[in-house]
Amino acid sequence: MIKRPLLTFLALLVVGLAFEFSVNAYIQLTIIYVCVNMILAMSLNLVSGYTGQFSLGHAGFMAIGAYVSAFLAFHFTIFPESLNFLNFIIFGLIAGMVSGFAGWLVGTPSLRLKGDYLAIVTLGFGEIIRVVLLNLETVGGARGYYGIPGFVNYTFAGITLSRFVSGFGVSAFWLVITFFLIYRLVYSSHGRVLISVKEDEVASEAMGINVTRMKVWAFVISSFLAGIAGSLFAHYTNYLNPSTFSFNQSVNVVIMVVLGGMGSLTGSIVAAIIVTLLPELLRPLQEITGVDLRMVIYSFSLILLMILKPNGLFGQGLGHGKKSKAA
Amino acid sequence: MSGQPLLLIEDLVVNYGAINAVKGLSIEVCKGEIVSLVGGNGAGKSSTLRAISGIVASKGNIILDGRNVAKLEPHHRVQAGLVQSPEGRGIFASMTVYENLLVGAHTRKDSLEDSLKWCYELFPILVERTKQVAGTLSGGEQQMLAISRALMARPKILMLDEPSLGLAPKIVLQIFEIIKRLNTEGVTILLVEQNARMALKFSHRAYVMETGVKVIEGRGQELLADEKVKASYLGG
Repeated sequence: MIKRPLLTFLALLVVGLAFEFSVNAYIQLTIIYVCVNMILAMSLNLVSGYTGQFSLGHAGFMAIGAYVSAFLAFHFTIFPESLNFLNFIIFGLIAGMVSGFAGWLVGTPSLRLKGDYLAIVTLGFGEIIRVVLLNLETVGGARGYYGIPGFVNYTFAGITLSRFVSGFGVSAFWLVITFFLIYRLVYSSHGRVLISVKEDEVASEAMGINVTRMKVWAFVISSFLAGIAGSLFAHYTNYLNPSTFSFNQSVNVVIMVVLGGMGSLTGSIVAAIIVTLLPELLRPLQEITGVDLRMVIYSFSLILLMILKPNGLFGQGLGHGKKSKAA
Repeated sequence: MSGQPLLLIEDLVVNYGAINAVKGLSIEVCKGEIVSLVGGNGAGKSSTLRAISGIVASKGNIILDGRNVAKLEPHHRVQAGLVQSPEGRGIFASMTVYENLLVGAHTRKDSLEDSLKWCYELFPILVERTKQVAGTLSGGEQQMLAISRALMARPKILMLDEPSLGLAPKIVLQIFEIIKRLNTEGVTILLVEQNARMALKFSHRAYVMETGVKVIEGRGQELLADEKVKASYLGG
């Protein structure tokens, strides 16, 4: 039960140490972004890919998590600075719970409805959160939230491990929890129920499934995990700005889920890597050509991928594709 | 039929906005019966079934085994024993046949062995297909799966909405023979059908509906011979 997650976590730690000694701080930052995006993509996949509910407000839940965790770090210390990554795990957990509660508040009325209402409500929700943060002076307002306590360097026996090590360690911790939580969930009887809700809500209801409750639960778990991703982001970058959590960020996560394949965790992981790294890898091109073709090429490759793999990289062609063929 | 009705519907009203789909329908189903609701398009047959399942909102009493379930949420009605196989089958296309059956038994906590065995016995074709993705089944097989899935919930009353929809005549006959067999094995069935001739032939009793009200009721065989029913629903 606990063995596989633990081994995965230890393996990730080794990978983290390898990155510590082989790449520079810029690449390390990008790697943390990849982890944050993986958590976001996998959690959205639970709602969109497995349960079939289209949410456009993931950045909003991430923002709640980020700001709550940052606020807590400013005002509370549980463990001393030498062990402050433990604080960030606890704050992350609380931030996730607040986020999950927000998810429950948003989901309970809107998930009672069938169809695309959730997309509209979550779109509005994300914008409300952003605008509230923009006007909330206690967390910096439009200037942004500065100097958030973050991961620190450690020195053991003359070797200095940069803040990347503890940052990546905590990221790996949540990454493993996210993956195994969702994996266990979707391959259980609950997962079957979630998929049946996606396939046919009326038939699910007729089979005695409490459709609204299942949808709300998936949504709450998803927003919980998005809040944790936000917390990771806050403590690694030490600075938050409401503009980071715009509609664009929500769409970015949707892109990862669709690109990787609806209902594929592997897909979400791979797509999070691609979507995060591709714009960064294209940076040198701008320096060589002098023209910013970065976003053009980025968008073009996304379009191309969707034409060649309409179900996403790892999509099994579930749902619409096969249904229309068989019917 | 004798005894207390297992399901008693009183003054059922279903409205879609300003449109009255069912206008005060009262019907009853006794234990061990096959009862069918027949009628043309828009008569309110499917709306009646959906209201009984709680999938659409309704007014009126729905009394199952002496207990009024009209205020219950749909999933509680399934637990109470009202299970519907919805129109258009509504199988979960991306799941395997076996998984579909498991979802059907979602409300149950006890062992499913007997029910699974029973379904595979009723529909031997499902044994071969058990690991197959349900979306790749033929229409007839999908209908068989939809009925089995509903049986997995161990219904007191099995409600079938248009089981003949979109199937070849030969398959339709096969489905109806299964319905009859289910009934002889003790399942009470409420059936909604466009295919009136077939439904009347296999039912103990039937109600003929027209624009939200019942116009004729009687024994299946009698209605088959009824001049008015013949003219309106059986094509002369």
